Amino acid sequence: MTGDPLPDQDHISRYCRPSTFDQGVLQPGAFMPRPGEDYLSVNWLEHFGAADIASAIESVRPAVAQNLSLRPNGRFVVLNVGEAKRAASRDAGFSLRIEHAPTESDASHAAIFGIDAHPVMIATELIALISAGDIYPALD
Amino acid sequence: MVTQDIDQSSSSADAAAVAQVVKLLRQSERSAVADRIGFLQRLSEEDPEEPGLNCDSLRSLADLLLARPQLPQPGISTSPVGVLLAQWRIPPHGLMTFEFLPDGRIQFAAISAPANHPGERETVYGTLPPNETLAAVGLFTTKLERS
Repeated sequence: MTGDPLPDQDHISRYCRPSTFDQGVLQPGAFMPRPGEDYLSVNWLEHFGAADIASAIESVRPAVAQNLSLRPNGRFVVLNVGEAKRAASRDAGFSLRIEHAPTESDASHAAIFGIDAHPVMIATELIALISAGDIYPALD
Repeated sequence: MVTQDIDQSSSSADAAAVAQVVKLLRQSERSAVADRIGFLQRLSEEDPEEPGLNCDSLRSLADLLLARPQLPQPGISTSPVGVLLAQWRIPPHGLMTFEFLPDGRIQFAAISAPANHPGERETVYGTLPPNETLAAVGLFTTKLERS
C-alpha cells in the first residue's frame, strides 16, 4: 500500500539512463533526483513474487516502460533495501525511507525519500554497494 | 579560471560554448574528457530524455581538471538538469564524487570503502568552493595522484 516501508530484506531496482554509465562503470548521475522531486523513483522487486531477481527484472521492464522510454544502452541496477538505508546512515547519519508508492500504471513503483539531505554523499554510498552482478540490461 | 575567455553569456545547453570547452580540453591533453563531454552533448541532442549540459557547470569541471593535470581521468555523467558529475575510483575500494554546481561550488563526497565493508573507513562530504573542496578531500586525491 502507498507509504508502506519496504522490508529491509527486499530489493529495489532503478532504471539508469545510458549517460549514467561511463566505460561501463555506473556514475552518480544515476541517483540524482529530478528537479522538484525529493525522492528517487525505484521499483520494488518482491512485489512481483518472482523466483529470483533476474526474473523480477523481466517484470520490471514493461512496468517502467509505461512511463519511460527504455534505451538499449540503459540498465537497471539492484539494491538491497536494508543495505541502502544502512549505507546512508553509517557515517553521515542520513535517514532514508524506502516506501511502496504504487501508481496507476506501475503497481511496483516505490520511492527513496531523504536523498535531498546530501544527494552526492548518498549517491556515492549507494554506488559503492553495487557490483557487476547487480546490473541488468534495460532491454532483453 | 582557464575557461574565462569562453562565452559566458549562456548558462543553458549551448553547443558553441560546449564545443569551445571540448576544444580547450583536447588542446590541454585532456582528450578522454573531451571525448566524453562530446559524447554527452551528442546524446542530449539525439535523446529527449538525456539532459543538455549546463555550461557553467561544464566550465567548472574543465577548470578543475585543467588546473590539476595529475588527477586521473574521472568517470563523467550528468544530473537530470545537466549538471556535470565526476567520479573517481580510488584503489582499493574507495570512491570520490564531485558535482559541479552552476554557482561555482562543488558538492562532494569521498569514501574509502563501501559501507558494508568490515572495519574502519574514512569519509568526507560537503559543499564548498573548488579550492576548499580539494583541501577537504586531500587524503583521497593524494592516493589518486599516486596511483
